Amino acid sequence: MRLLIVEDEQALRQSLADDLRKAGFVIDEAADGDEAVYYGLEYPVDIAVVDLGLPGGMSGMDVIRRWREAGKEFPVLILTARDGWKQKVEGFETGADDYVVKPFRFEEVLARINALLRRAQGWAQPILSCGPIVLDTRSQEVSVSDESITLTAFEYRILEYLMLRTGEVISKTELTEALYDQDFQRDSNVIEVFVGRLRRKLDPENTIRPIETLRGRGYRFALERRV
Amino acid sequence: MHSLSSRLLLSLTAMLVVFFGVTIAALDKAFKYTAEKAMRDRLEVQVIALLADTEPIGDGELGLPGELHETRLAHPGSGLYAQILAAGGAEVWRSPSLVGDDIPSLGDLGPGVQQFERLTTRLGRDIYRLKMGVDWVFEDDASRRYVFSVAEDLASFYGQLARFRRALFGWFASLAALLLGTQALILRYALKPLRLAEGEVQAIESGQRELLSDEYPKELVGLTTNMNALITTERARLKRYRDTLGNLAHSLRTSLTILRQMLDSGRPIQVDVVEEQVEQMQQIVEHQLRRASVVGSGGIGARGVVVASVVEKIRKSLDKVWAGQGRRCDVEIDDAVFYGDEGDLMEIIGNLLDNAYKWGRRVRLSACPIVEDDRRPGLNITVEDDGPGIDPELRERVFDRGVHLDEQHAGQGIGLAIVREVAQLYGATVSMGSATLGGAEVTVAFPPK
Repeated sequence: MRLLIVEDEQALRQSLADDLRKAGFVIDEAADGDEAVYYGLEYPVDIAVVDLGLPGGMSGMDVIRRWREAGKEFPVLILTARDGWKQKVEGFETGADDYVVKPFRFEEVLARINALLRRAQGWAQPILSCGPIVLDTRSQEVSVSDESITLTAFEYRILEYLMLRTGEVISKTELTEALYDQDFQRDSNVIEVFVGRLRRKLDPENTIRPIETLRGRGYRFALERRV
Repeated sequence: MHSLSSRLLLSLTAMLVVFFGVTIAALDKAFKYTAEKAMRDRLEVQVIALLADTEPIGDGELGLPGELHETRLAHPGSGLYAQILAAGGAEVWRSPSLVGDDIPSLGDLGPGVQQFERLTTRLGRDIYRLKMGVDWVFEDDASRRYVFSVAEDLASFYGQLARFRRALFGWFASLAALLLGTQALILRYALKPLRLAEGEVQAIESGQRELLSDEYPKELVGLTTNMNALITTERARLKRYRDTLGNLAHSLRTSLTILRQMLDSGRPIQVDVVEEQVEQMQQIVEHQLRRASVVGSGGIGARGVVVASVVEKIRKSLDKVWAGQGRRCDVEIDDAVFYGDEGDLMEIIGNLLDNAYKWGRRVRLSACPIVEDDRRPGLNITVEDDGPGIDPELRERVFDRGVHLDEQHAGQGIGLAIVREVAQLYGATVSMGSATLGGAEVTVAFPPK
């Protein structure tokens, strides 16, 4: 998933970026409002974490407002040092989806980010179940017909991305941008290799066929959600 | 225009100008009318006198004696002129006073018919003339039509009018000046309480007074009472800020000292100790800063806040946070208004609903006014949920800072503590019981004032 961090305090931004990269996110960073607006409008952001107290003329609220006015609907988690309800309500009315009050624990931020990503795709619970495949977004464990499967970090991220968007056609480009930093040398064949490996691990007998390839269009996770 | 006195004086002056102007115009018109009528009456008498002096002379004509009753008719330029005209306008006789001048003659008149008009003579004199038609019957029973006319110069009339107008304007101007002067004195007396208030405010600013006195006219009592309430509230808030900073400094120093000593000792950093002190400092900061930011009753924001709109904003926000998790919030609000700061109300409702959303799937908020006699209505807010509820023995503890009775829900257990702290500043009570929905019920009751 591609995550945009908007935070002017460099140490905090760096620390958050490092921790979120370790959690498997592709991170873009913005240190002020103008940069944040640019990233939000021009990059395929899946979720943004925005500090409300940005320097200069554009506050965090202004950034969120500009995104929403431009039709961007990715979820936004706000970081705020002011935890009064008046500020929270103002944030929600502007277009934020959840908030975390500073100082915060990283685990809380990660849990809220994952919850927002699931909700954005219509998943209310942290466990994604499609057919016999179950993916726990908290523990990052995957099982097929109750048997645990070991996946590499990239394989897991691809599977999570596709399962969250089950039924949708995801292009190779979209998958690449969601999973790779911008300065990483991308080769679309790498994606094909990982998807191939994922298929073999999830469906060695080729009976379940969870991932469809749509020639010229991309991939689709074909199993239906289990409620 | 920023001066009350100037506004009042200008308004009164304008009113006087209009009123006096209308009065002067009316009096002037009345005088002129009366003077003209008097002149007409005089001229009528002159015409009758002329008739009386007229007698037939030989050849069926009319004539007048050398000496006339009205001696002014005999003196040239006296200002009184007379003529007798035959039918067709031929002059039969003119008074010696008309020598060298002519008056335009305008047609015949029927017997007894009078005509009163204003004219100008050939020499440019303005006159009023009264004409009367007469059918004269001679001894041979022949009847001939004549017009008898007497005119008076307007010079004396104008002079009279001018004298009247001078007197009129003079008296009214003096009266206006007297009225304006009196008004200025009255204004000075009436606005004295405002000057007193100004002086007292300056004394408060310089520390010589605590509050405004209560010796003001009833029209200003409302204003001075509210100002005193505002001064009192702001003083209390300032004290709260000072106390907060003092408490904050005192409380934080302890934690900072522990951390400082750990760094200076050279021993390995104990993560659990750092964690504990950071947690403590965070709680202290949140608690003290929140206390300082609460406005409380009687503050600047103490206007009527519509409870329904605040509840709706918070409900929408919480529905967003809990989207897809089956939360439902029913609201029953009965025309309720909160007399206080909107931010304080948001803290109370926000924390009550937030807590209810965490514990239950179904939440109900009801609010209604508490009406009592003539006092400003109080407010009752109740939030219920269908969660597990809270044991009666533990109900008081949930309002203590840092206490949360279940580890499943994120938060630091200060929500209900905040509700109680804010409520107390308004003199409100907070109580917890069992809800009809099956879970916990929290009620905040603001008393009428």
